[in-house]
Amino acid sequence: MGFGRFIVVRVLNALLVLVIALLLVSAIFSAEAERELRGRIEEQITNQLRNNPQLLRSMTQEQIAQWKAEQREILYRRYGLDKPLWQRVLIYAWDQLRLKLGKSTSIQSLSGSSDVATIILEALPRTILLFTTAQIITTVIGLILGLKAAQSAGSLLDKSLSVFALLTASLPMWWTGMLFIIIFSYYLGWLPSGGMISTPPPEGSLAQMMDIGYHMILPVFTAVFVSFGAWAYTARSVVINQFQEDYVMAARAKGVPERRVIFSHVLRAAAPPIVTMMAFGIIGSLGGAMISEIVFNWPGMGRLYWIAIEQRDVPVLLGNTTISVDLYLLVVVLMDIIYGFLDPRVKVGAAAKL
Amino acid sequence: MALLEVEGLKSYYLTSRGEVKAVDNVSFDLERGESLALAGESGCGKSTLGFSLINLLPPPGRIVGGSIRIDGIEVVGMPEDRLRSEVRWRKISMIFQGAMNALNPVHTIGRQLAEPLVFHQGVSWADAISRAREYLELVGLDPDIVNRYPHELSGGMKQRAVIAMALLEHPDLVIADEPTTALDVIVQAQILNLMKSLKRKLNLSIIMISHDLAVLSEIADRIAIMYAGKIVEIGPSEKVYGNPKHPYTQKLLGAIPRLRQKQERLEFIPGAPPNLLNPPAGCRFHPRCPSRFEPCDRREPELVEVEPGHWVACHLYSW
Repeated sequence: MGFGRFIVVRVLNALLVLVIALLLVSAIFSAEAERELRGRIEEQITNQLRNNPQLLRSMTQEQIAQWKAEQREILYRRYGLDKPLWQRVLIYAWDQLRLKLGKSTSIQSLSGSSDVATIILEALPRTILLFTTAQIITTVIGLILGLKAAQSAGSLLDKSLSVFALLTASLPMWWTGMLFIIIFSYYLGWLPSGGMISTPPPEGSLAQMMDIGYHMILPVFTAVFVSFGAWAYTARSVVINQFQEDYVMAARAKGVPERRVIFSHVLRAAAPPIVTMMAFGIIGSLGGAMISEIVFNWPGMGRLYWIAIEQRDVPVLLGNTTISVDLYLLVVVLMDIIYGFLDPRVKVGAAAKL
Repeated sequence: MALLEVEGLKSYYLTSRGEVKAVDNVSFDLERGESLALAGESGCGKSTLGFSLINLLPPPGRIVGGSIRIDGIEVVGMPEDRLRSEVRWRKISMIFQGAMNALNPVHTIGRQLAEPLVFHQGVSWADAISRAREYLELVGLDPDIVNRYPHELSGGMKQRAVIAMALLEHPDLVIADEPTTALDVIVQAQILNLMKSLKRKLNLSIIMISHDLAVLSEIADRIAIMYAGKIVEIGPSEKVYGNPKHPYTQKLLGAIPRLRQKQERLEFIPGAPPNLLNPPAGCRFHPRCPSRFEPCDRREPELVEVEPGHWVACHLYSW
């Protein structure tokens, strides 16, 4: 079957992209990672020597230098630093591909673990919670508003929507976030200015969930505020285009109830572009908006990335990048599959292109 | 009583620059089993007239006056939900211009055909689909295409499916808006023959809208020529086609290339159709008319019967 082959090709394609991306990222980061590693090895040797005063006293300067060189060689071999650079890049990439993300150099998870996977798995759900919630709210409000505007094209609602969309879409989210923090947190004192949970956290899981929800209000509101206008405007154009299609006119001429015309003909046919927009919105949100997470002090993927850069924690940087690329490609492949079901033309077209 | 009676119909597009009088004071009748052709240049209001008959003008179009009675029921001013449940598709159905786009690409053929049956008559989807299969067979298609999607069919097949869709609820009147425009000549002939035989078999009344007079004379009992929102000539096909009276009709027929007869050059009508925002006073054709005379730019000509059943709106015959 053509569509099955199409999916297989898309998956292989995604894997190829993944390998290339991981090789590139490993190549970029490996030099930095090694400099870091060499530094740590030096430190380790010095510490060893310092912690062993007897050994230190029993050796001459030359012997100390020689001992250091021996230790260095042993450790270099252990960490693979004796191999040529290209081989080490391949090893890094292979580890990333297998999701063997290694240990962080300085960042620790909440539970004190320095396992990169644990650190990321801690940050990822928080980002999903915040931005995916915002994305879903944006999508729902945007679709409803866009549909309403399209149904009454040229009306006051429609015109004010386009102005509002232009206005809010040009506001950077972090700037709006700061503005809202000033208004709602400092002046009005209604909402917390940042963080995910109060310190100390309230007792009981229900109370904790409520507390997290309370902390989410401002960032979610900000994210929705800056994006739902543009969303509605885009949905409006898609739907207006649909309204002008002959088959929508035909459905109305057939005497089909208007609700069904809207849902079964207009929205159903408009689904592919709308789903694409949604998928990209979700992909974008998974990476976490770095600056926005910092503004709201939200401990998600974006903020983790920033901290990793600041602290030169290469394993975390690499792992974060790998997970982001994995998720991105996963969504793209999923979207290809969904697309085939939403638009029967895709299956044939896709099969024909192979 | 005629099946369809249209009297003084006015359909305007209410734009910010003024009223576009796309259909202005049009009257005609249609008997059961009869076929009428509506012909004219692009923008003369023939499609607007077609959509007015099911009271489904795209905004800002509106019927602003006159009356349309189908089977004695007044359509103008009828509430939307009654139009939907009683008139559209049950009394009057449509075969759309450019069948390519009249079918929704994301639904199967069967679903789209069966849809109105389900909503109007409350039959189950399964029964409605089996009825769709019957009608697909009637128009010469494999009934199994109920499970296919529009993009899997050729242009001619789609046009046949659209015809089957129009017939499914046994309408009294079928409006065919340029049903053969996007098709090649061979398929065009097949579709026209199909429509002719369906008309005989089902005793259908058809209003066929086209700018292609040759196609129209094939199928129509009567022809109505429209110019700038008005009917300027209406009568039996062979009379209008063979012996046109209105100068516009004569020019229009002169503009058709003929293979058999020797033609020095293809005629054309100088000038352009008038702006319907502000049509010329008197006869709307007078600025382009070769035989205009004194009253033409002052008085609007009425339709007069020049021979039995053949009506012309021109001062040449009424002055």
